[in-house]
Amino acid sequence: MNKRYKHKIFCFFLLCIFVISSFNCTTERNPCLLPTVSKVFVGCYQYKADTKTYTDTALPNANFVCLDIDSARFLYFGAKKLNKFELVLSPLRDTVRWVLQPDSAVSDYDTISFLYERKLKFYSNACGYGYEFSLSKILSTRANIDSVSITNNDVTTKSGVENVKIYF
Amino acid sequence: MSKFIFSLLLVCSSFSVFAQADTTDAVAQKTTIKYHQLRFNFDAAKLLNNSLVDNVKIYEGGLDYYLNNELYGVAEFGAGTSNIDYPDLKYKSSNSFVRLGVDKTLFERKKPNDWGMAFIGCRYGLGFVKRDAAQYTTDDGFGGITSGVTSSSDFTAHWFELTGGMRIELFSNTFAGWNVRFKFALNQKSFGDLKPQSIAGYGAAENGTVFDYNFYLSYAIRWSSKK
Repeated sequence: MNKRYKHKIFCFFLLCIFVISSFNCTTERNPCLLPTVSKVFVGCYQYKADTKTYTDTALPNANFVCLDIDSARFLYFGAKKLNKFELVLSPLRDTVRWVLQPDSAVSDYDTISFLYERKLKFYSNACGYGYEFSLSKILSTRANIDSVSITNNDVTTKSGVENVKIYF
Repeated sequence: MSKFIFSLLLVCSSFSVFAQADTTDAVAQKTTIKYHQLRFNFDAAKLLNNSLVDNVKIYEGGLDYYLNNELYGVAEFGAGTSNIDYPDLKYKSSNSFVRLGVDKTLFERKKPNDWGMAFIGCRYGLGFVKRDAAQYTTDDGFGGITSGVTSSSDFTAHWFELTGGMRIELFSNTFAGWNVRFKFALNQKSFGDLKPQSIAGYGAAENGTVFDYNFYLSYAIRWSSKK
């Protein structure tokens, strides 16, 4: 290999170093593409006496208000014909109360209390930390609600996993 | 009689001379020259990265020694730091590392002094990582935030690498070349929950498999010995 050819290769190396390093070096954080807030997935059901089964029930005009996180803010306000709801739990306390009004025009209020344990969870350097929860107990008043039950204790960022069933 | 004895001595001495000559030839045939090369490598790409990136600094170098049969023993080492300073996550980490392995050239040398090479190789990597306590904040889903501090962590990282590359001798004893590396973490679970953004010598600790590259500038010292 003659000297001139070697020098060309050397220049090519230097160029490669610069180009690849420029691509590689970025101080920007990678985007967080996953949810970091764990939510309780709640389903509403009604007992059908004729078939003796519980079926999905859409609430006509539902309000969900949290008493313990931020009582001034509705998470759902006049949500029409929904039968699945996602509620948040507080990372600052072990109990949260939610007020549910199935039909804001006519129905009474019910209060649902969630008792749970908190677990700090590291998702990634892009998404940082968040909290996951483990439901231990759920209580409710019975103005409209017949009963409530926990179907999955683990409240995580996975969507579509139902945690609580509310029976009317 | 004296003539006979003299003749016998002459014949015997001539035999002994022949025998000596045979021994000398045998030694000359067995003596071969072994060429040695110890090469010092410095990763110029990491140095360039360091000048362009604020929060991650990595320094890598190493040396390789020609063993035999186009096989090189390789030892690489280095150190680095990373400083993560995001709005919701702040921590620092640092580590040193060593990699040991071999490189095998793909083509046999045509001349003993031709040390340019294309090669493949493998490495075992060992990193000693220290992560400081991390400050974090989390979103509660209603726009509020909570904050806290997680404890610091020290751990040892093990990984395996497959590598390949080239070295070209640009000037006498001076080389330039590159490596590409595919790295596989062997004990990623022991990195803990908060895996550092960067482990010098390995890469992003969150990834079980990492691709990396190096651009080396190298200087070799050579000597020969009779075998």
